[in-house]
Amino acid sequence: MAADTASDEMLIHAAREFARSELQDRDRRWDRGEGTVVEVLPTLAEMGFFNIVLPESCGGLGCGYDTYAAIIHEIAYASPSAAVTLCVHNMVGHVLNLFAPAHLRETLLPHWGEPESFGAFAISEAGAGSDPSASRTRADRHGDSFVLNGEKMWITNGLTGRWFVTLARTSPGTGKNGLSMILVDGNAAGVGRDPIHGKMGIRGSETAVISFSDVKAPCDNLLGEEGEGLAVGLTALNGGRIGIAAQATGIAAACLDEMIKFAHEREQFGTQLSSFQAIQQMIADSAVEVAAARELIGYAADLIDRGQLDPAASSKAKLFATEAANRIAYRAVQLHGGMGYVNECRVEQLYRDVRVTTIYEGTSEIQRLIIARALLKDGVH
Amino acid sequence: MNYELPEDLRLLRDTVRKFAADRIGPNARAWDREGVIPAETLREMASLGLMGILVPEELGGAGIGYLGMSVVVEELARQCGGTALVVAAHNGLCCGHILVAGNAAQKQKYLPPLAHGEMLGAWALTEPGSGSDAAALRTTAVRDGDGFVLNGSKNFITNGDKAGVFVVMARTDPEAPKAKGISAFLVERGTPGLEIGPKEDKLGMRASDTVPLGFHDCRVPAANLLGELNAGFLDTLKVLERGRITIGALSVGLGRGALEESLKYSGEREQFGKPINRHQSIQFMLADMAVRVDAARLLVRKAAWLQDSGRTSNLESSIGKLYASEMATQVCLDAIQIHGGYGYLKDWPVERLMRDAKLCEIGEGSSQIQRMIIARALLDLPK
Repeated sequence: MAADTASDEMLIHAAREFARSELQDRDRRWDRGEGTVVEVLPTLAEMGFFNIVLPESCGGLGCGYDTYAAIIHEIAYASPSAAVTLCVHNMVGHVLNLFAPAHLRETLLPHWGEPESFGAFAISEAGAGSDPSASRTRADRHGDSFVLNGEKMWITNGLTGRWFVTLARTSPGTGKNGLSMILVDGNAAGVGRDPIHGKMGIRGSETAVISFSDVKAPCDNLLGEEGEGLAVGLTALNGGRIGIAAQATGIAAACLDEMIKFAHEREQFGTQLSSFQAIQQMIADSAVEVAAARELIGYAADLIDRGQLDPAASSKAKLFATEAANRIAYRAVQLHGGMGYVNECRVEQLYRDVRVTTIYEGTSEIQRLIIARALLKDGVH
Repeated sequence: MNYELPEDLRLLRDTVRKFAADRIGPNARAWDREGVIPAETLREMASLGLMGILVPEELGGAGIGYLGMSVVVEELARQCGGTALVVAAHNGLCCGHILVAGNAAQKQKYLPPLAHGEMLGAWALTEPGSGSDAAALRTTAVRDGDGFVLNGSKNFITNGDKAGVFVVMARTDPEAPKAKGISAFLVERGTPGLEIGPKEDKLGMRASDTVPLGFHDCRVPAANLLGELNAGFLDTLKVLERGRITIGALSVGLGRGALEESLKYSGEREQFGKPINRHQSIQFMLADMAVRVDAARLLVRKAAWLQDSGRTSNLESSIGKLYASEMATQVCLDAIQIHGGYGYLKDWPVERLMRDAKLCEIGEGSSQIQRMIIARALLDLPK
């Protein structure tokens, strides 16, 4: 990950300064159940982070994915919850830009940088996680509208989000055929939102169950072709995975810095922890994995920026970065000993926060399937 | 950093890939068994420019830097680790040290024949008593009139059996702190007092020779002092910083070879009524192998890119070398697992790749030394 230009470099720097001074303490508070990231949405929007990848013609910053990943990394370093919130909102904007009909793009995208435009994906269901083709939410045509009924689960930004990119069945049957992606207005009648309580980590971000009961959406809100909902979802995930990989790597980098700091401060056997080879090796191994993750992310981002579609590259970045970040958080707790086991110490929270990264936006197992399929089809390159 | 190789290096990669598949791969098993690469092959590699990778064009080389080096070495290692090691030690260590420290006359004298493949180069740092603690070396070089007289012994010297010239590190100031009394010398084959020992019987990298050297009142002219007197260890560290990029690239080639062989085998082998690559447990192994190979290549190229743009890559070289070498061993072991009983036989290339890979975790700074370098950089500890 590296900046494309000097102005990108400044943006990344601004993200770092802002996240560390304005988000980090809040994120600790959110983790204790006091407030959520929603309290800083206007500030995040004002900083430009609501609209990082959309072109400037849509009011976006027009950054490449390389810079996008670097910004998410910096935000996640201080606030994993803010990072995932921004990842989702930015990716919804990206999907609208790619798949929404002209009238929707013209009305929505110029405002995508505003907190009122807050976006969410509504794809997973209680019975459809890794296998979204098992979705049961229905969207039946009645005149000019779809009428949606069903329930979506694990919806990030779901409590406050205004726009839901929703996967629903538009023709009867089961399986991957007949699923379409539809933009649903969260203010529409019949939309229910219930918070999911008791999350292990990223407690500052919203996670909700969204229910649709006779919710109307104009037929013009179809994103992409009817019946092509899964393809639209996969495109969204290609960029989305880079965001989650960057989120995980930001958490890992924070863990690494906490390890270095503690290794200098803490003394045992009459000397600093940093002087023991056992400790040095934990730090070295973590630094190697952070470096490798950053390169895999940079490579996948570069491919997207050059318009070369290679979903396996994003999957490789996501798989490696999230698994490595979990190992690094584990080492960080271990290095801190008993201190690392109590909430007063930041690594205790990071250890919980990082856990979800191998699960959402495609589990590690799904990433391996994607990578293996590409290998069997295209070979090694 | 640009993630795409420049056009000239893409062409070179394709050329070397084809050469390695045609001329090295089919012979690799025999070379591994016999412990030798035919002189003919070395000449062919020289004609492709592979013996003067770093040497500037005006001195007869290809002058394509460390990115070029990483591309060439990966492609060679894909077919035969030993062949890649010969090229790596010759270019990275011997030519590399002359490029780092040599004066104009030394460069003019040695680099053209090295680059043309008329002479193989070797580099002698390690001794029986000093491996990871390289600065503890005990070979001495004592000033005597218009020359230096070397005494001592070296071991694990790659290319030593055939080399025409050796870069040899020796202690020139026994009173100075250990890293500050070391100098480098160019010692030509045939110099009286230079004894080249028998080839070691190694686990892997068998196509490349490894020998001990003895120096018995071995006299070299003062003009063969390479670099400043007593500053040889600093140059050595520079050579190693860059050499690690090469070993990283070699590891990437071995890992890629193991992955490609596994992909091929798992598509042909059928069990439970379908090719084994249709079973999820095999697919997951392949996926993890592919991720590691990619990550290693990216880390190695990052270090190469830093070197080529005139920056230091001390940390990045170590990160790339550590990750890539451990990746290669792991991926080769996984490849053998995918091949099952066949992978345990010498009939299949993965058995050899695995033996070759193990060296990469040991040579040019063990994994433990790389971790030390990385931790010192991060923790800002004294070196």
